[in-house]
Amino acid sequence: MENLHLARKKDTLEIHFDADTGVLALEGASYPENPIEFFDPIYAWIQQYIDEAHGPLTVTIRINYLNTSSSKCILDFLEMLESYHKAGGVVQVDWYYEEDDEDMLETGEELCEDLELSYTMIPY
Amino acid sequence: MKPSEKSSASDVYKDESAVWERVETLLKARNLAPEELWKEFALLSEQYQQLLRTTVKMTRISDKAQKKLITANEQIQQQQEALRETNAQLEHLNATLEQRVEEQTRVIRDQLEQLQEINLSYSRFVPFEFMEELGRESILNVELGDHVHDEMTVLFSDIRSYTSIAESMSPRETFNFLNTYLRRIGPAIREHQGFVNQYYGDGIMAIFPKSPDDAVQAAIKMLERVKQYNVTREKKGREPIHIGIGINTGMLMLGIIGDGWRADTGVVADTVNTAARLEGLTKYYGVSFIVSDTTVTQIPESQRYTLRFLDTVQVKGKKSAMKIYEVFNADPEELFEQKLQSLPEFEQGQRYYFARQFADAAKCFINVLNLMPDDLPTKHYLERSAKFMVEGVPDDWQGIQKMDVK
Repeated sequence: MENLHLARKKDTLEIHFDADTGVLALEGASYPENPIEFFDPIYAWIQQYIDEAHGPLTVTIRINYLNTSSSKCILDFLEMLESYHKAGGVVQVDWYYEEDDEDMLETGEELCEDLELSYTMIPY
Repeated sequence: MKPSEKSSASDVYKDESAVWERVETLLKARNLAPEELWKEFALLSEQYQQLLRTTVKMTRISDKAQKKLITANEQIQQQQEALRETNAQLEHLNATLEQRVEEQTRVIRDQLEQLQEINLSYSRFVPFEFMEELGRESILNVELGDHVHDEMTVLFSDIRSYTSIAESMSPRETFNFLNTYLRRIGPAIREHQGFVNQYYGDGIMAIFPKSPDDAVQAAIKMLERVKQYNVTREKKGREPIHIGIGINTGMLMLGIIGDGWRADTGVVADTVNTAARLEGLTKYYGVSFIVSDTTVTQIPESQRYTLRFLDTVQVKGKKSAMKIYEVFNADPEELFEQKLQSLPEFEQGQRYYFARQFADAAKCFINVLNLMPDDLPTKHYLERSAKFMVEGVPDDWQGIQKMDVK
């Protein structure tokens, strides 16, 4: 399976997935006009990884702004990971936030708290 | 919102839209068994719960995002306000700075003008040309001991019978007379690349660093200006004045001399003394302008000037003899013509004289005096010829005239 890399744009995240190590990194701000257009390929790609590789996943998220639609997309993404975890997959989510950015800490907790996933909040 | 509506928001909720479509289908199917209906209701309830949870989450997250945006916006506004204040302060500072720069520029300009005036005033005491010769741009750079050793031409001029003229005037009148005279004569020196090194009362000592020809031209112009000045004086009923000029060319040392507290320009050389002696000799020969042979030989096309060989003299304080010439270009027209006309006879007389044929020489000189009864050089030659005819000639006589006058 090939790696995935989407460069950061003004309104979309930078995505980097290393298929060999199973490390997926999301970084930047997200407020695109059509979030599904951006997130659907990522869903498809992660699903393919789950279906084909069944490998462990380490997800690092370093986001400083999400609009509402993007938040829903991230939630759906985390629920995909939760399903994989429930199916026996090994998943770790690391949510990075700027030390003084309480909002992004709380957003991360809001998104992760009801999920059966191993997650860590890490300030930087 | 209907599931069929296509938008980015509805796309995001496509799973939830699928639930709604399922509900619509079930509502249309009226023949479901109660057990199946219960099962569908339970599933729908679970999905509704999920939707509610998601909605609550999204609302909270959205609130946080809005709060973050508002906070960021407030920060931007505060920064803009701070920036506006900084800009206002900068503008104020800028205006103050411009004002200060303008004031400083005005002060500097005033000081510069003052400095230029001071420089100009200094140049009246130490001429620019003098500093230029020393390789200095300003009086500020001139140091005690600065000097240059070079070949230059020295001019001395003096007013004839100045003492008796001065005696007839009050000190203030004498002062005014001298300044009027020097104001008329001085520029002729500068116009020919020379500069006045020193004034000695009515006397002028000038240096011409570039060419001896400059000095001769300046001297002729000085004599012309004296003639013009005399026209003015005569109109006012004043006696005309006459000047004598001596010029010599040679090596001289030009520099700054003094004791560290009081300094002055100084020109030290035998060339200067000789030039002063030649000016003195104009009285003895009754002529206006005498040049040394060292000057004459260095003037290109010296035939441009009307010269009369005067004598071979040994001036006071000098061991060697030198030939001296009269330049009579600036003489009054009638006198000029007489000198020019009698020149061949005068020169013939000199040839006899130096060949010790004093009787023949005397005849020539008498002929010249017939035309110019007051010509002193001719009178001197006639007197000497007569003396030698009567007293005989010393064995070591070489035709050199020893001059004791200063």
